[in-house]
Order: sequence, then structure tokens, then C-alpha cells
Amino acid sequence: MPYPRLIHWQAEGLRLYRQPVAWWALAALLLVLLASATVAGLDARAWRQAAAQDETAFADKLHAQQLRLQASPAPSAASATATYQLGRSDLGVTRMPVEAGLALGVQRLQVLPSRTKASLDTRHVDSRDPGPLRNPLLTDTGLPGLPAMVALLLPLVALVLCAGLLQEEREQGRLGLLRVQSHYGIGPILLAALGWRLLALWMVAVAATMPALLLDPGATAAVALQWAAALGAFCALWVALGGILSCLPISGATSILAALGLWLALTFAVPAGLVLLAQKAAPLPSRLSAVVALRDAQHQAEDNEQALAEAWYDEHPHIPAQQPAAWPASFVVRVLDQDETLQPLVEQFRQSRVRQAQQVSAWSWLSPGLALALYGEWLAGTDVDSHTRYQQQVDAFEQRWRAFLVPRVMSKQGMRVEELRQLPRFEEPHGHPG
Amino acid sequence: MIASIAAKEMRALLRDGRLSGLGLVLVLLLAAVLVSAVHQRQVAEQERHQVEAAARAQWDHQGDRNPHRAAHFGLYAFKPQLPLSSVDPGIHARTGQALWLEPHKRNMALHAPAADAAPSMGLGDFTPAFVLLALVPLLLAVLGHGSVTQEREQGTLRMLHACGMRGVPLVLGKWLGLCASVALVLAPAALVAGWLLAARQGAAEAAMLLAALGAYYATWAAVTVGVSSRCRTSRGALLVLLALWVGWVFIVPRLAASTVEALAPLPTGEAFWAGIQRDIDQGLPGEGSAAQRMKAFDAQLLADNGVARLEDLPFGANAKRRLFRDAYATKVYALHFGQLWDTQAQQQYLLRWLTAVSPYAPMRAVTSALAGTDLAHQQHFEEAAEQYRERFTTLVDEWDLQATQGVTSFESRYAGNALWQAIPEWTYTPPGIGFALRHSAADWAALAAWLLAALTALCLGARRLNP
Repeated sequence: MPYPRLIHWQAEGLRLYRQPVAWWALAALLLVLLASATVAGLDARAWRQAAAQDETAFADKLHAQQLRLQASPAPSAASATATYQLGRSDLGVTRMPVEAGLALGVQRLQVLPSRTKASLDTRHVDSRDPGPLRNPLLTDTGLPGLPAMVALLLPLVALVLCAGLLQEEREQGRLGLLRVQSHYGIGPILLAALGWRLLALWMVAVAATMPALLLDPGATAAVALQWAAALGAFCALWVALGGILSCLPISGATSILAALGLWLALTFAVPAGLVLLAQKAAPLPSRLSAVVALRDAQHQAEDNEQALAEAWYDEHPHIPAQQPAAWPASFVVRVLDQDETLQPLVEQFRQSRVRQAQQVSAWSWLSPGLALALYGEWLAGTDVDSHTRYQQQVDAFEQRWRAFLVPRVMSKQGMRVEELRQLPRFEEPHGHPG
Repeated sequence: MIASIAAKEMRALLRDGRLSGLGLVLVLLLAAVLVSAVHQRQVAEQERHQVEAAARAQWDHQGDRNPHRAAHFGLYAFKPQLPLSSVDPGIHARTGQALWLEPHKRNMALHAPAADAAPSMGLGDFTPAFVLLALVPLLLAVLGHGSVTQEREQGTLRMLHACGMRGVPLVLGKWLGLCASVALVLAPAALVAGWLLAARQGAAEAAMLLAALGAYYATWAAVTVGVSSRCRTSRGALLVLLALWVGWVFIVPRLAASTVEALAPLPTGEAFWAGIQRDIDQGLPGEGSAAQRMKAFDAQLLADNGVARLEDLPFGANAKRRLFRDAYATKVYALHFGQLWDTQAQQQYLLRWLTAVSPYAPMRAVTSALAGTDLAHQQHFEEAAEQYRERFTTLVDEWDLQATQGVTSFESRYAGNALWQAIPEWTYTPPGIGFALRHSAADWAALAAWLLAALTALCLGARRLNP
């Protein structure tokens, strides 16, 4: 196909410039995306600021625990109790590591457990999430995330600008004139028209969404470039679809309606279908049934608490056995047993979630909007894989936490104040693996 | 005259392939989504009943245990789903499914389905409510955008004007015709929905929902015809209606929710729980610390019973002290949770005002209230669960108070199945339709105001209808 010449670009540029509907549509898109980007950027900024204060908050909590330990100096049963309370305190709270593109996926932190606590208590019944409290009404109604807003609105504007281009010329009787006057046919004219629209859409999308990354102090130029490239591909796809619709032998009104149907299908119906298929392919175990399993594990552990304590002391011969085991030692071994019993169920949940995410991701190319949203979450580090890795990191941290504190409780000696410096800390690895 | 115009509009729309084609697609889609949602709800309710029975059986047959340890094993409260929740799940996905009831502590519900959901765009689930509240208005816009502009483009509007046809009867006739056509198309789906939902204890709510939907669609139809009468071309009218649809359904509610979160934020979980613990430990203003209160209570207890040590009391000392401590903790929890609910209510109030510019928001609130999936119903359930928690923990402590003397060890197991089975079962009766209507009265008023405003604007605009 012949490529557009300068004159084609000039003509189509002038034509777009003189279309007030196009400018209104682009202006509305800019304003709404800018508002969404500002909210996302401020949310990401608030998360990073809170994370920066974690160290100070930890130091304050550590000081409070230090005073408690000083009030019940080791070695003593009171110190063992104070150590047990320390083990259940907020000193074990973690924070999910995120990536440089946090602003593009920060809304996921509203639903994902992102401040999981390592504890000498079981996590499975702890509803005291130290993370943000959310009004479910606002979370349900709230902004879905910047990539989703782009996926929702940009295709509509693209289709309004691009669908019906040739139909409009035909209905106004100018198509024949264009064919006979253009040396190279309609192709270059159409390409030039679509090219200008692609450029306008891409520039508006980048200008409107970049503030989200600019407001996030953790964002990098690399993420900004990756996001801009993704936006370019997304715009190109929808402009191409609009161009194809424009070439169909249908009326302008039908072209608009077909564009609307396409938008509805690719933005709503296809993602819903993919989620349904993923849920059928990898169904999640039932949370309610998990409650029954948890209670069974709790009962079993309580019935066997003395045997569990005895077994623990046998495995740790360097700790003098304190039999019969009493609170808090008896509670600690029960929790260890419960969590071990429930671990396969926890793994089932994780594996199902990961498989569902893989299924959705593998077919997300069927819905450009879904693919863009998932890419945004990947850049933000709030996708399912990142969250699963975080949960595994918390598990490992909890093992270190318990390995450090449990012997000090079971020995009924407690921990000395100077040992607080050796308390395990949650390390936040960064960067996607591989 | 208006009836003739309405009949003519209906005939034209019925002959137009768009009504039958798009209408059929919409009806089939609604039926499929509704049948799936009703089935899912039935399965979920069945599972809830089974799990409730299993959890209760675990409680009833837990054998010999220390009563306080057993109380901490606790009971669970699971929120039932009303029949209309199949239509609009509301906030169900964002709230926990299971509430653990134990002594000393008031917990928040666990296991919100949204945390386990497969990755999606986050634009909301494809529910019957989405079809009814978002897609049907779009159908109205697609069918009705050319109701006046086509007359203008074909030149028939000028002819009607020349024949003395006034604008108001014309647009009202077109409005009625549009409403009647869509109602005809949706009638089969309404019958199927009525059979699926109303047969299962939801007749009154379903009837109110139908009335609300009628007002909602009438509003959208009035807006559609009104925009058509003001625009010069059909394409222009369609674009304006699309912009309104996207703005009202997707943008206004979402931007408003984010604004409300910024204006009236909730505390962090850490601050919330720390505040409760601080008030329990240090006491509410003027009430002394926990240690001081306990010391005073112990002294009074010993004095009242004429003994010198807790071990000499003729009843269970631990239980007596627990009842005292837990009463104070319950008061503190009620205070903090009450403040949390008040803040959420304030957020809802702000949201209602900020979304007043969209008819979608009040309609969504009305369907959610009728479905029992709004904040008010969630609060009702949690308050009922909290009252049950106080009741069952008090019963266990009162039994322990009578069954023991002095100070007993937490390691000794002296309570058995007779006590566990004597605790009344948790039963929850969701509030009736009156509750839903009271808590959504403002939203009903907003919906009525929208209908009135849309019809008034339609009539005022029709007076200056320019052929």
C-alpha cells in the first residue's frame, strides 16, 4: 500500500484540527484520566510515605516492648510471658514490597492483604489487619485503577474518532471525489487520518497518566517509558480497529453502534468470560469449609497439647523440658501444630489463585483492556505472582520469627533486653525474579 | 394525541431491527447472568447452612474443656444472602463472610471474596444489576437517540410543526413510546426474574425493585428524548448520550468515591486496634486504668464477701473478674466500632451528595438496599452478631461463676458437652423491607427528583423545539 505523503498528513491534520467533537472528546479524556492519575499517584505516594515511617514505628514499638521486658527481667516465667506477648505484637507486621510502577496498580492494595503479621498466634483467624481500613461501599464504587480507566475510556474516544471516517465521506458524497482526486487512492489518506488520531490519543493518554508516576517518589524513568510504550500499543490497536470498522460497507450510524458493541464485548464480556473460565479451570477451595477444617485442627491440637509439648522438647533437647506445659508454652506448640496441619489447605488456595491468574493472563490478549490492566499491576508489583511471593516471604519470615522466640517461651526463661537487637526482621526483596 | 404518537413510536421501533435484535441479546444476556447468579447464591446458601451446622456440631461436641478456653474456640456467625442479592451483590464481595465470636475481643469479618478473586480489570462484576442498571440505559440511548433528530434530518419535523403539532405532546409521545417498547422487550425477562426471585421469599422487594427500575428507565428515556430534541444530528445525539452514559455510570460514582475517601478518611487498622487497646488498658477519660479498675473491683469483691483472698471466694473468681473486665471491653469496642460506623455513614452521606449528578448512583443504592447488600444491612448483621457474642460469653462465664469456687487453673477441664449444648444457637433474621426502605429513603427521593427533573427538562426543551 502506498504510504501517506506530506500533503496527506497536512490535509488530514487540518481536518482533525477543525473537528470540535474530536477536541471535546480528547479534552474530556484528558480531564478524567488526569483526575484518575492524580488519585493513583497520591495513593502511591501515601503508601511510600507510610513505608518510610515503618522504621520509626518499629523503633517505637521495640522501645515499648523493651520496657515490658525490663519490667519482667529474664530468666523468669514473667519474662517468658512477656516474650510470648512480644511474639504476638505488631513487631511482626510486614509490608508487601512493591515496584517502581506502584501508581499503576495501587488499587490492588485495597483488597490484597498487604500488611500480614508474623506471629506466635495463628494468622488464619486474625482479622486485625494493621493495613488500611476500607469502607466496602467506597471500595466497591471507587476508582478501579489507572490502567483500567484508560482501558475503559480511551477505546471509546478512539472509536468515536476513527469509526465512521470513510462512511462519513460516503454519506456526504465526498468519497468518490477523494478516490478520483487522490493519485494513490484512499489508503494513504486513511492512514494519515488514523495516524493523526493515534498520535493525538497517545499524547493525551501519556500527558494525562504520567502525573501518576510523577507523584510517586518511587517511580523511575524506565517504568515511565514502559508505560508509555504500552499506551502506544493500546492506542494503536484501538485506532486500527476503528479504521477497520471505518472500511466496512455499512452506514456511519451502524459503524458507531458496531464500535460500541466491540467496546462492550472486549472491555466487559471477554474479561468476565475469562474470569469465569479461570474459576472453573482452577476452582478455589471454599473459605467457609476452611473454617471447619481450622476448628478441627484447633481441637486436635488442644487435645494433644501435652504430647505436642513433649515432642517439641524431644526435638530441642538443649531446652530443659517444662512439663506439664502451661500457658503460654502450651499455646505455642498448639499453634505450630495447627499451622502445620493447615499448610496444605493454605497451599491449595495459593496454587488455585496462581493457576487462575495464569489462565487469565494467558488469554488476556483477547481483551486489550485486561492485558493493559494486568501489565500495569505487573509494573506495580501488585499482581498475583508478586503477592504470592510476598506471602511465601512472610511464611519464611514467620519461621525465623518463631524459631527465635519459641525456644525462649518454651524454656520459660524469656528473652533478655539485649537480645532484642537480634530479633528477626522482614527483608523486602525488590525486583521481579528472573 | 400523545397516545397516538407513542403508538407510532412503538410501531416504528418494533419494525426497526435494532429493538428486536439488541433487545433479544440483552434479554438473553440478562436471563443467563440471572440464572447463573441465582444458582451461585443457592449453592452458597446451601454451603453456609452446612458449614453453620458443622461448626455448631464442633462446638456442641468439643468434650471436656476449660470453659474459658472453649469460649475462645468460639462460634462463628455467617451472613445469609437474601434472594435479591442474586441481582445486586452490592458490597458482599468486599466484606468478610465469617465473623469469629470469642470472649474479650470483637473481631472483623474474615475472608472477603474480593481478596480471592481472579485478576480482572476492576470495573465491577458482570452481574444482573450491571445489565439492568448500565446496559438497559445504553439500549435506551441507542434506540432513542434519533427519536427527534431523525424527524429533523428527514424533514418531517418541519411538516409536523406546520400542521400545528406542539413540541410537548410530541416529545412526551416519543418518550412514552420508547418506554413502552423497552418495557415490552424486557417483560419476558422480568417474568423469569420474578419467578426465580419472588418465589423465594422476596416478593415485596422484587415488586419495589420493579417500581424503582420503572422510574429509572423512565428517567433515562426522558434524558434520551431530551438530548435528541436539542441536537441537530443523530450522530451528535448519540455521542452526547454516550458521554452522559459513561460519565454517569462509570466516572461520577468512582471519582466521587475517591473524593469522599480523601475528605473523610477512615483510620488505619493499626491505629484503630491500638486505640481500642489503649482505651481498654488506660481506660476511657476519667475512668482509670485497667489495673486501677481491677484493683478496685477486687477490693470491693473481697469486702462484699468478707474474705481476704480471691481463692477464698465462694464462687469462681476468674469468671467474676472476667465478667467485669469484658463488660468494660465491650463498652470500649462498642464506642470504637460505633465511631467507625458513624464515619462510614458520613462517607455514604457525602457520596450521596457528590453523586447526585448521576441517576445511576441512587438507583444502585436502592437495588443494593432491597437486596440486603448495603452498608446498613451489614451493620445490622454485625450488631446482631456482637449481641450474640456478649450473650454466649456471658452465659459461659456465669456458668463458670456458679460451677467453681475461688481461683481455678485454665489447664483444668471441668466443663462438658452439656454446657456447650446449652448455649442457644446463633440465629439471624435479616430485617424486613421496611428497614431497606427507611435506609434508602434519600436514594428513593433522589430517584424521584431525577425523574421529575428529566421530565421537566424534556417539556421545557420541547417548548422551544426548533424544526
